[in-house]
Amino acid sequence: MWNYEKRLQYPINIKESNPKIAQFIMSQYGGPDGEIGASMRYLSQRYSMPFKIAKGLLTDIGSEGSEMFRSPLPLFWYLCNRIIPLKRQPV
Amino acid sequence: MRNQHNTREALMQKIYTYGFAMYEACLFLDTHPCDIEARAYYSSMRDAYKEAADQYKMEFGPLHISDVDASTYWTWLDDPWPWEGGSC
Repeated sequence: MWNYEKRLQYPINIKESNPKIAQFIMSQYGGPDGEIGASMRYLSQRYSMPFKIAKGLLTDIGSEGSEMFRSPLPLFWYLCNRIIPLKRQPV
Repeated sequence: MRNQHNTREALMQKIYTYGFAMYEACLFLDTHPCDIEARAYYSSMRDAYKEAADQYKMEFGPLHISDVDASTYWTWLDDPWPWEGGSC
């Protein structure tokens, strides 16, 4: 199951918004070569994998892939900062 | 007990660093399960990660829903989320 930890996989430190890079980041997210596809492939392939070591590896990189397809999104939002105004909801 | 040397940012940096090292060692060990040196490296990174994560959740709040102390209120929603600039 997905076990969420309240942090990113890798720290992000973006100083200014950049819509061009934001567009590129989004192209790495979905599509035939995107992280979602890769992650789902690893996680499906593990069921028919006969070797113990590769079963573990497919599970672990598949999980990392699912982490990585979440990483472009915060990155995307940081890059869009000040273009799309982010409204903070009052608690 | 607040440790003067560990600010929130410094502690989160440790969690990132040790968490990354632990995970990379895990991937290596998946295909090299008998490597003694790699297992020792994994263990030391895992211990360092756990120590930093335990200290973080004690001082600054939950990293995982199982860390939430729900005795007074629901603290999970306290801090900004990672994509809002929190915890990174």
